[in-house]
Amino acid sequence: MDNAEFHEWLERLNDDELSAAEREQLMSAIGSEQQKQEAFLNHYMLAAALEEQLAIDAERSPLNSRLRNWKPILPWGIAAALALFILLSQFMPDTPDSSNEKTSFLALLVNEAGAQFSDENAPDDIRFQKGNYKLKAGTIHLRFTNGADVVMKAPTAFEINDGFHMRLHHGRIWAMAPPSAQGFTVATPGVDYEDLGTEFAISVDRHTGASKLHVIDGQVDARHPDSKDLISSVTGGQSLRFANGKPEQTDTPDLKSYSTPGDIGFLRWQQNRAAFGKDDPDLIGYYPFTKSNSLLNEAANAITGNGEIHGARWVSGRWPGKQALLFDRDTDFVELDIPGKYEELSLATWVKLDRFDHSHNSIFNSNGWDAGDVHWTIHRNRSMQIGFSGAKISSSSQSLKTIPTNQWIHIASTLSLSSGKSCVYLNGELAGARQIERRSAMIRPGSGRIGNWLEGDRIDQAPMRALRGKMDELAIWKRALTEVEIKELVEAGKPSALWSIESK
Amino acid sequence: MAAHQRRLYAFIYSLVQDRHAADDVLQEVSAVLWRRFDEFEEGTNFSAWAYKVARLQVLSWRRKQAKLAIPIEGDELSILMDTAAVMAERQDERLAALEHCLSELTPKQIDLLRRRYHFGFSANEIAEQGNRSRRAIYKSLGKVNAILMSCISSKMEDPNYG
Repeated sequence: MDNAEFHEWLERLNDDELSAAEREQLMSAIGSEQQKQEAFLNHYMLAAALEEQLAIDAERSPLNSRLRNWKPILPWGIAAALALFILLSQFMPDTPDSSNEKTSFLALLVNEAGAQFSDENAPDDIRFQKGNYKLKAGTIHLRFTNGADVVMKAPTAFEINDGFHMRLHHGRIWAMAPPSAQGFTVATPGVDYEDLGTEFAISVDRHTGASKLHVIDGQVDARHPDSKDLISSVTGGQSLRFANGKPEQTDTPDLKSYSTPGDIGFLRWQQNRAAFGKDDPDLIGYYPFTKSNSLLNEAANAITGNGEIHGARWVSGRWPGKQALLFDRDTDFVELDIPGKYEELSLATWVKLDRFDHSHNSIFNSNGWDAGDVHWTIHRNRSMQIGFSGAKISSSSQSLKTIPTNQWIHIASTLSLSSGKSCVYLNGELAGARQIERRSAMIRPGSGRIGNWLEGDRIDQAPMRALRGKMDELAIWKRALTEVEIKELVEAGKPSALWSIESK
Repeated sequence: MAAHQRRLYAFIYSLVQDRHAADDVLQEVSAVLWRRFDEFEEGTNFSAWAYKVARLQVLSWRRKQAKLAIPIEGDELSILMDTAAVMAERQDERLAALEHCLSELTPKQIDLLRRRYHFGFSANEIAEQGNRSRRAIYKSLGKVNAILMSCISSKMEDPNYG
C-alpha cells in the first residue's frame, strides 16, 4: 500500500466505506508498522490543519481568490471544453500537419440560438476551420483563437482565412476584439477593416457589395485590400460607408439590426422557456416573470400559487426585451404561497441586486417564523443563507461573504433532510453548506414574500428585510438539485457568452 | 484558535477520527481544565496536564462508542496516544507548512479539499456534485493527501524553515 492508497483508505474509513476485511488489513498495517502508525495520526492532524486553514482562506478572500482564477469571459458547460481547446490551439503550429488537422480550428462556436448552416460547409460541431460558411438561420457567437468575438445573424455568408482574418461576403456582424486580437481584419468587397482594439459593427449588402462600418468604441482602420494603403481611420461613434470603390460619409446605421452576444442569450432563454422543467415532476413552481398583474406560475406540475404583486414594478431584465420586477421600496414585495410539506426543496433565481439596506435582505421569506417556515436571505455582510424553522442548523461552515451587486447573478439554495445539508450556490458554484442537525422537522414554507418579510406577531431583531434590486426568473423544486443541475440552469440562462462575474 | 487549543484538537482528532466528535471532546476537555484549574500545580507543565485530561476524555469517549474506527486498547492505545501527543505538539508548524504547501496544488485540488474539509461533504456527495465517480473522488483525495503530507514533512524537517 503506497502513501496515496493509504490515505485513500483512511478517507474511505471516514465515510464508513471499508469492508470488514479491508478494515482488518488497515488495522494490521497500523499495528505493525511504526511509520504507518504515524502516517495514520498525521492524516487526522493534517485534516485538523486543513479545516483551520481553509476556514481562514474562506474568511480572508471569500470566493474571490477562486474567481480570479476563472477565465473572465469563458462560459461554462460546452465551453469548459473549449477552454482546453483554446489552450491547445496556442501550442499548435500555424500550419498543422494532417495528424492534428481534425482538432485544429481557427474559431469556436461559443453560443448560438437556432443556428443552421448550409450543407456544403458546416462547422465540425463547434470548431470552425479555414473555409467558407453560410449561416441560413439563427444567430451565432464565434470566438477566434486570438480572442476576438464575432456575433452574426442569418442570412450571412463569410469566410475564415486564419486566426486574424475573415471575409464578410454579405450580412451583418458585430465584433469585439480584445488587445490580444489587435490587427483582426474583416475583409469586404473593396475594403479591409483592420481592428485596433475595439468594438464595431459591419454590414455588407448582398447585391451591391457596399459595406458599412460603425465603430462603437476604439478605432478601426479602413485599408485598401491590395496596397494596404490607409483609406480612413474611424473612431468611436463614427461610421463609414464604402461603395463603388469610394468611402462616403454616412449616418449612424441602425445598430438594432445587428445581433449582440446578449441577443443570443435572450433567444436561447426564449427557446428554453417553453420546455423548462417540462419533464421534471419535481418542478412545483416556475416563474419566467412575464408582465402581468400577477406573477404567473408556468410549471407543468404547479403546486405553488401565482404571486401577488404588491408595489414592485415591471422593468427590464437580463435582456432589453425581458421583464423583471424591481424591488426598491420597503413596501415592495410579491406574496407567494408554497403549500405542502417537503423533505427537500430547491429555489433558484436570477437577480441583480442594488444594495443591502438592512441586516437581512429577503429573497424569499415565509411569513413569521413558525415550524417549517423557510427563510432565504442575504446578510448585510453579503453572505447568503437558507434555513427553515425547526432545523437546528450548525453554523460551523460560513457561507461566502460576497454576493456581488449591480450585475445579473444566479443564486440557488437547497434544503435536504435526507442528506442533512443546506447549500447555497452563486452562479452555479457551491458557495456555502451547513449541516441540518434535526432531521425530524419538516419543510413547510407556506405563505411568504419574495423580496420582503412579514414579521407577523413575532418580535425580531431584524424585522426590515426589504430587498433592493431586480428579479427576473424564479423556480422552485421539491427536491434538492445537484450542483451539476444548477450549473446547467446558469448555462441556459446566462445573459451572454461574455457574461462573467466581476467580484469586488 | 489559541495554540494550545489547536494542539489539543489535533491530538483528540487523531484519536477519535471524527470532526464533530473531536469538537465535542475538546469542549469537554476545556470545561474540565477550567473547572479543575485549582488542581493544577503551578510550576509544573500545563501542557502535560492538559494532555492527561485529554487522554482521559478520549478514553471515556471511546468507551461510549458502539463501534470504533480503530478498535485498539490497552498498551497499544497508550503507545498510540504517546506518539499522538508528541506529534500534536508540532501542529503550529504543520499549519504554517500547510499554508505554503496548498499553493502547490491546482485549483481543482483546492476545490476538492474545500468540499471535503471545509464543507464536510462525503465522497458520495462530492461525486454527485461534480458528476464524477465516488472511486475517482477517493483516489484524488488519497493523492492530494499524499502530496500535502510529503510537502509538509519536508518543510518540517528543514532546519531552516519556519
